[in-house]
Parts: sequence; C-alpha cells; structure tokens
Amino acid sequence: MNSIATIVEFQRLRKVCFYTIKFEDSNLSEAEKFFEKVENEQEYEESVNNLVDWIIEIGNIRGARFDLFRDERLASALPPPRNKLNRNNFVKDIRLYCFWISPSIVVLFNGGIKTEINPAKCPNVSMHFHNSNTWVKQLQEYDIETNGRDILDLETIEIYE
Amino acid sequence: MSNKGKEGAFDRIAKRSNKESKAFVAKSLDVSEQVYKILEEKGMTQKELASILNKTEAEISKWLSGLHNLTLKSIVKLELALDEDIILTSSRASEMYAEILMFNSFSSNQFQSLEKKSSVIQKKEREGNIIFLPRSKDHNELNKNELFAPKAV
Repeated sequence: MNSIATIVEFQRLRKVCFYTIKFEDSNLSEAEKFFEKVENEQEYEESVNNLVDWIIEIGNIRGARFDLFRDERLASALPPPRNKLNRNNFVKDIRLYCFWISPSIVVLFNGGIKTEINPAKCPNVSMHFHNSNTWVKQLQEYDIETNGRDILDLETIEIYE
Repeated sequence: MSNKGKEGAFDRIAKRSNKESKAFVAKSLDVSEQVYKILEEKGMTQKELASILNKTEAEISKWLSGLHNLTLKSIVKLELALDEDIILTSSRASEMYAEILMFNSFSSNQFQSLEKKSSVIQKKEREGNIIFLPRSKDHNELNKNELFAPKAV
C-alpha cells in the first residue's frame, strides 16, 4: 500500500516559509532526512554549510526569487544555479530538490551529493530527482491556496509515494 | 531556528557554519547579482564579458557562481571590463552623492536663489542703495566657491 505524506512546516524565516513533506510511516520529514544525511559528509562540509547559509540568506534577506532556484524538470533545486547558461556544467555538487510555489513559499524535498551531470543517472540523487518530480506533479494538481505567507488547508493535501 | 522545538540537523549545520561563511555567501551573491544587473543594463552577454577578459565562459560562470572566492584583482578586472563599479565603499559613495547633490543644488535651487538675489540687488542699485554685483561674470561662470562663499556686505 502506498504511504501518504502531508506538507509540514520546516523553517519559517522572515521572508520565506520553507515547508517539507512527511510520510505517515516515517519519523523524519524529507528535508530532515536530507540534512541528517549530509550533515556529516566531511568532504562536502563547506558545500553543506553554504547550502544552509543560502537557505537562511534567501529566507531572511532576499526572498525566494525564482531565479535563485535551478530547474530540475517540474521540480526546482538548491543551491542556486551558478549561471543561467551553463547550469549543468558542474558535477559533484550538493542538490536539494524542492517545489517553488512563490517568493515566500517553498516546499523542500530530499537530495544528495550529485556525482553525474545527468541527475537521472546519478546513483546518489536519481531517486530524489524522480520522487521530487512525481511529488511536484501531484502538488500541481491541487489548486494550492496561500495567503502570501502560508499554504492554506494543509491537511487537505496528500502526496503519494 | 526550527519551529519544532527540538534541534535538527539543519539547526546544527546553521550553528556550525560561522559568521564568515554566512557573510561570504551574502557578499558573493551581491557581487554576482551586481554583475548580472550591469550585463543586463548594457545588453552584454556573459560570453562577451568572457571575451573582453580573455577568459572562457566557464571561468566567468565560476567567478559569478556566488560561491567563488573572487580576489579584489578579479573584481577590478570585471569593473574595467564592464566600465562600471561593482563595489563602492560607503565613504566613496558619500563623496559621489555629495558631488551630485552639490551639482543639483547649484543647477536648480541655488541658481534660482542667486538670480532672485541678483534682481533685488539690481533694484537697490537703481534706487541708489547699492553695494556690489558681480556684473562681469555670467551666472554660468560662477564657480562653486563663489556661490558658497560668505556673503559680501
């Protein structure tokens, strides 16, 4: 039987509320799983720290401007694109997949250390890349209502694995 | 940071990341956004910028990644290539602002005030109560020192 996930609040910062999703049979939300996983990646400690710094900078200062997120098919990802032309030239980098809703609302999923240019072929992130796109597709079918700062009627939104 | 009451990995990472790292991320993004803004205003592409700097586009992309540790020398190179300031210290910005303010003041309010004073003086001169008037100079030739000098009695 497919597990059901709901949207839960993850980090509420001054300009952006970051949500995540949590499956009913899991102790941790997807974003929590991601940060637990990368927290002790020694080789990527700087990238991991920078990613958290980005999220705080975006959340508190700049707002979640769309151009600060990478396109990953239907989903988006952090960290921000290195540029608008060669966004896939850099490999061995961290990816946190997400669903951008507005400059003040973002839903964070899971991710990992990307080791291949094509995320679908990367053993670390391919599953998260596919899952994120599946979840974004499901979320897009809901007419998600917000009041500018929050997602309304959170309890009515269900996502399937 | 977390609203859940218990500290998660996100909070622990945020704590271990020092102030320098946070400031670096913010400042790098400021520089890279400023460069993109100038490129857009000038209708220049990143490729053209790379060509002026004799660099590959990939190198410029790395410079503008928001995570690259740009040296002051590289920033100056970018400024020269773009013919624009990317970083402006607050004291230099104040000086520039003061110069603009002085120029605007001279060309509008100060100039109108001077014209008004001139007409009053000319009137008094005709009435025989006169003092002085810099007749030999056109208003446009008056320099700022004369304009802002103590009033002649």
